[in-house]
Amino acid sequence: MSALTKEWLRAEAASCGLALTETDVDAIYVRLVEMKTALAAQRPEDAATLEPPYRFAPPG
Amino acid sequence: MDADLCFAPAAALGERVRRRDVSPVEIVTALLDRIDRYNGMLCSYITVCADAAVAAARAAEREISAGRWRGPLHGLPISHKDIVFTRGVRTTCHSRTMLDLVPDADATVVRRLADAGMILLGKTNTTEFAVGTMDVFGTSRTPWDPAYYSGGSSGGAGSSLAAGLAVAATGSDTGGSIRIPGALCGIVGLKPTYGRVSRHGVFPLSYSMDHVGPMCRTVADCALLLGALAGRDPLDPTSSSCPVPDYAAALAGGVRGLRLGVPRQHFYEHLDPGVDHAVRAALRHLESLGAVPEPLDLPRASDVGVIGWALLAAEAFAAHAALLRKRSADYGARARQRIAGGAFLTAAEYQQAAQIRGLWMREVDAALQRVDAIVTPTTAFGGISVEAQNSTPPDTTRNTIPFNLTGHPALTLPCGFTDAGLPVGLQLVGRAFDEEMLFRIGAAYERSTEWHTRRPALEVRA
Repeated sequence: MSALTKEWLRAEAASCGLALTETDVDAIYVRLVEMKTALAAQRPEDAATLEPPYRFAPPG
Repeated sequence: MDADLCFAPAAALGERVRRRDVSPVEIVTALLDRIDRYNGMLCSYITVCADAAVAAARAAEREISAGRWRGPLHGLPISHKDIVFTRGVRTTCHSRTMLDLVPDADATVVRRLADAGMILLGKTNTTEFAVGTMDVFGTSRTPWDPAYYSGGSSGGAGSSLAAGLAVAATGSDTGGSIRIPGALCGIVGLKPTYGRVSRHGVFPLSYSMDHVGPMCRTVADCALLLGALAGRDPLDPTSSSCPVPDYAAALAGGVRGLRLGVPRQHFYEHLDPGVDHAVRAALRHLESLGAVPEPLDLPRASDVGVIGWALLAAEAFAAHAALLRKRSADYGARARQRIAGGAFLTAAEYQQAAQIRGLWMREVDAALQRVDAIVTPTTAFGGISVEAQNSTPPDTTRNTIPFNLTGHPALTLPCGFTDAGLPVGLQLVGRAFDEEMLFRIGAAYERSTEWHTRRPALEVRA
């Protein structure tokens, strides 16, 4: 994936057929930076064998 | 107008209906009168089914008089969130894209409550698609101070119950949308275990985090409703075949000897002083009843909220992609931005978020092997002004979304008021499919406190 920039967001939105305003791009950029930073920081080595979705076993 | 009738618990009203001490028609007309007076101020309802509700109440009255009483919910009104599909009744999702949508089938929860004899009173306000703002029909308000937001997204349900404009309601909860308005309106709301209640016919936001549940004024009423709502639904592959217990039987258990986990991390940080005071007083009260508070380590808690929002955004975009491409300008800015953000997360990031979620689920599951329930404030703050909600709202989901990620059941119930007179919610989180434990603790607290009996002074403001 290309580095996250507002230019990349605009181009990607256009290729997805999404009509976004500049205000949208600004707001989405802030949220994406927060999400992608958190995901990068929490990359879990001990989750390598944990297949989603994790399911509940009904009691009994 | 009989305000006492409008504020009576569903369980008590149901018993009076069974004894024919009060008629469903009296209940419905009293509520319609009150809705007529206060809905303009509170924006609790998007659609009120006045004529159909009166007709259905008459039919219920005839049925009961003829000896065909269906059970404790027969003849009682129910209000459904306006993302819940109702056959023949407009379902807007508070979106300009769906203003004229009239479904030709009921959601499973609508059908189940109708089968139990409940009467559709109306469709309650929601944020746009349960994730945006309330631009079209107005912002729902807490009746404790209508300058303040009801909380969302099931804000109309919370507002209507607190104001005596409803007896019981359904809500949906993807990041806290039953529990947040429950707390900010001072009512009881349950996010059941993932899979406990069918989502068929409820407009999706996030496939893996959406939950549907009851909102009421008492714990016993939530238990009563859950009994009718819960169970396997062939139309929802995520619904569980786990047997449905008699939830009412759990209410009398008491809390003596129960271990209540009090997280050391995250959930008690950055609290408004009024919230901190009320929740700690509630913990002391539960201890005085015989419960045993125990400090609990949940070290991942502070990090998982943003993971929840990443999963929500990706899954919401999957649900909305086609409509968003066609009608982007008809979405409100907040809904459009939150949903469209999911288009820019990669499959690898989604997988990674799911793995982090798995680790968090293990952490919470392990904690719940040591304690009977986890106790936290439902929200960190005591209220959000309508003005703040419509401009730059705080993150309302910090204490709730962690349990949408895990799927554990979570109940909010009122535990006090701030100095400004706004209600505070106490959140109880339990083991998977152990809603009974939450009802048991909640009922013990409710029996020995009076927060749930207070009524907002709407008459003064009208």
